[in-house]
Amino acid sequence: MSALLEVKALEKSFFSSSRGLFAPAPKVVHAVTDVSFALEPSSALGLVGESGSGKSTTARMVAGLLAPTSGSIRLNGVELATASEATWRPHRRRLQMIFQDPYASLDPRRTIGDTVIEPMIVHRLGKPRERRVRMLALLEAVGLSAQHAARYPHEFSGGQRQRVGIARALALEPEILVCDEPVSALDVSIQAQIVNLFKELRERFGIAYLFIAHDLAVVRNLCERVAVMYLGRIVEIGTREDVFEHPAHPYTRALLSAIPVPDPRVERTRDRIVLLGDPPSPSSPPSGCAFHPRCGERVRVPGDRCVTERPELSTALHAAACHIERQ
Amino acid sequence: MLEVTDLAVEFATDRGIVRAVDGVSFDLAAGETLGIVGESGSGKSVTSLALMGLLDARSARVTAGAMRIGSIDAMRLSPREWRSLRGAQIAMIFQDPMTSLNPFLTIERQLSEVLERHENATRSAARTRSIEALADVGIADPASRADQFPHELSGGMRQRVMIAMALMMKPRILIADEPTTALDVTVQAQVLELLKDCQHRHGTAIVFITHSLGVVARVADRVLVMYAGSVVESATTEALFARPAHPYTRGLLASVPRIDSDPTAPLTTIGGTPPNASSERVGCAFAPRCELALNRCRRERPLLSSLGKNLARVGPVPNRDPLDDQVEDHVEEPVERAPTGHSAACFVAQSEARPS
Amino acid sequence: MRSASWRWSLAPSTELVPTEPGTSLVAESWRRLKRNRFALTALVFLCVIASASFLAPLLPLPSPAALRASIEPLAPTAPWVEFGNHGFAREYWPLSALDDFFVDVRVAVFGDWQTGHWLGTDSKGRDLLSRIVWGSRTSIAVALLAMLTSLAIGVTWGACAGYVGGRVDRVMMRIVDVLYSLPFIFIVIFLITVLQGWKDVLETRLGIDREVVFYVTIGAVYWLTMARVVRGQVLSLRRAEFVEAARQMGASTPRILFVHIVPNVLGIVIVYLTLSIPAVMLFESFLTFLGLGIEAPKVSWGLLAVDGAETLTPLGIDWWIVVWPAVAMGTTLAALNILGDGMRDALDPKSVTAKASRT
Repeated sequence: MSALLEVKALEKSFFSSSRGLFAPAPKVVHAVTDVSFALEPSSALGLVGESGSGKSTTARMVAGLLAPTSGSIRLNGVELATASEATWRPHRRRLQMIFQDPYASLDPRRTIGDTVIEPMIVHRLGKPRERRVRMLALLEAVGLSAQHAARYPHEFSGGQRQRVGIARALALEPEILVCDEPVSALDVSIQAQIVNLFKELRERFGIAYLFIAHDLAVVRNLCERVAVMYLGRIVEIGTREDVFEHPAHPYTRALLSAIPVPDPRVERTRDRIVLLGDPPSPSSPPSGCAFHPRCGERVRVPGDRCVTERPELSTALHAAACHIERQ
Repeated sequence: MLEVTDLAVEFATDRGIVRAVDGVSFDLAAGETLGIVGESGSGKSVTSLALMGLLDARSARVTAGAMRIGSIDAMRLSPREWRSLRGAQIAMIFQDPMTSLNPFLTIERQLSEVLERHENATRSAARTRSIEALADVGIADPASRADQFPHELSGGMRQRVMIAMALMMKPRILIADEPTTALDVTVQAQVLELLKDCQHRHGTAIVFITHSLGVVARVADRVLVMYAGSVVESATTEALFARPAHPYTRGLLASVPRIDSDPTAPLTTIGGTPPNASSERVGCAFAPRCELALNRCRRERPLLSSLGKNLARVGPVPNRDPLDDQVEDHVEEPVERAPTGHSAACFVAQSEARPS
Repeated sequence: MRSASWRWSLAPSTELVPTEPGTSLVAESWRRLKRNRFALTALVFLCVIASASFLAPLLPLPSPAALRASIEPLAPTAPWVEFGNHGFAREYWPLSALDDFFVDVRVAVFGDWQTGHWLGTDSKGRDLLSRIVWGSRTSIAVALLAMLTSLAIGVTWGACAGYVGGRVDRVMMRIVDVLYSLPFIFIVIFLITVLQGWKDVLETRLGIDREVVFYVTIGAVYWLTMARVVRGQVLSLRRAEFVEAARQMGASTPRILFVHIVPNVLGIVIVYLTLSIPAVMLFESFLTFLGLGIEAPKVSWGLLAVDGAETLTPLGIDWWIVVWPAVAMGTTLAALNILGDGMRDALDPKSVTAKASRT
């Protein structure tokens, strides 16, 4: 069976913006390099990484908001990476996006009912009356009262607005939801509500998720497969158990140990790997393995292989791009 | 070191007076870290601004039974006295280091300015000390970093600069308002280590404001949990996480996905949304979202009271009839001074704490 | 296109119309504006001016064009000295059908009664109050025209340039720059000279007279700044998540522009319009003052300024001819500025979200 969504060797480079008269030759910044993954129907893949890891750029490419420099995005076998807007349009119904900031992702001048109806108008689904009924049903499906349809976004809290954003995405009955940090702007007690809503929608409508987050605990709760990104590349990919219980890449291990656990007994006893330095900038990536300047386990690799040679990510189900694992 | 009793902050808005902070009390000793946890709108950031004397007197009214910084009565300070106190005795670091640094001045100029203002240090002495301060917060190659501008540094580096600046005058109290929220997890770990390290060396008392229970568990000695402007629970970090007494604290703890819990279980949630600061209310602010709320909770506002030795039970709360109003008041006198033991502002928790 | 083919079965618990209407941002802004007493006063004042101006032919004012034989201008007579008289003469320049009808009504209601010369008369004996009221019609017409071109051309131009971006943006904005840098006074003079030369062809056959040239010029200038203002706003809105969301769902570019972006810049557009109308009114007065705009016997505030300038003789001080038009213009411009400022405060969406979301 072929995957619902198949991404292969996806790349995105930007030209640095200083293209003035006296600027040196435009510099190419590789935001995303050689990213490949597949998404099965009603499964969830988490894409985690820190700022500058290229996870949001990947999401925007998959959602059709950004044209890839090269690579392939296949939705049910249809190639979309190089598709024109006209080719894309009918497929947008099947792949919808949830945005990060619930304060910015809703048009402040439209009622939430109009916001939820809009995708149906754009894709000419149903008659006006049917759309309206559908909209009320969708609001209830995401846990809002249908009585609120005539209200405006500013009358809602962040969590409720995010629910409206989800209802809008569901209006087209998508097979895939691309979620770009959908809970990170929400309050702690609201995050759990939204995560549970995602799970419930998956049960109910068989939606598959590409879930982008920096919060690994949230990803662990929702996704069976996880890919860890560092500086534009996937450095480790595997099932939830693989990545969280048996992390293979030193970066994944450091990331996991850096996450605070809300339990002082655990916090004060566990070993913590504190990385040196800051994540490097994509405009000047380190040579060899991009992680080598911060890696505490480099000593395990003989010679300066980490500095000179970039470790490849194998196609195994649980794979890590690290020289240590190869030995 | 820092003693606050019954701090309240009111804002005048075009929809009337809004009480953003209501009756916050705590004590903080040297070398101790107090964590203040709360969601947006809980009043935790307003509390920190009030502690720094940074609220605009034209729109905000700050009242307190007492607010003492060391031996100084902060409620009687003039704006001028506040200025000389800030930076020297009490310093603050913010969530977004970019907006707190002047983009047009080099790092060194901004650090030296603090010294020149408070100590009349000479230009060259100030520079030397600034570079030392940068080295102190773990910035590699501080001499060349010192001459860079804020935009040339990464987020984690900028937050280190902010910490260096805040610690420049060796303040006795440091207020950190979500200092790691804008940072990546691995950088957050570094900054937390750095803060702890600085605290050990200088004996600084830290007020650490955050929304993250994990961060609080890592750094704090004592924790205040805030909800809708009031402290709902106060305890040592161990006691709070082992025996959370207030239903809000329990709900919060249960709703955070943990990296070490069963991943397939659905998360427990607190229904509803945090109240609007402007909405008038009678009774407990959390009652509309509370599964355990009694009728009394909706009528009467619970005060923060010590739960005594017999602390609230761990684990699930037994089913109770929500109409059961026969809960007697078995609590000691509501605390007037800052609570030292485990205390909660909740009738249910207080009744559970009674000796059985 | 598929229609009405939903795969998921979803039904709402109720199909009733929601009973809780929301408060739109417009309603919120209006609520805030109503609390601003200055702005509200300015708004009422402007409404009075605008309706007086529109209904000028209905009011029992003396004719703005009827000359009186006396040589000396009459000083103002207070209403309690002479409230009115029966000296109305129906003397106007050619009026539009609607205005003619209004005058008919006025004659039928008031007969030949007219108000006294409360503000005095000008050097040719024409009633000053009447001339100010009638003159405001030109100012308002000019303001409306500038508003319409600003809205129609300026907003569309700026929104397209800002949203499409890239090369299109650069070309469109260079055109604006070029138009900006043209010396419009010279162009008006040039056009009017051409008009004189080809008078029989242009004016009699095509109906292009000086007034048309005057209005076209003002229209051509006043959308430029609006295009720039809107472009700046759209540039920042283009990256807003709700616009991305519309793009992601497959909405067409015109839909994104006119359903999502333009309504969100409209607040700023209205504020900007209010604040720029005084400049348009002054521009009208300026062109007329130079003899390039409205011509007698019609009247405009610019022409009143010309009349005022002519009375500045060493022989005597007919102060009212200068002061009353200046007061009329000054208060109107001040009211527009106050209203514009008030609306800017009221429309500031930050004050809404700040209250709604954080403390």
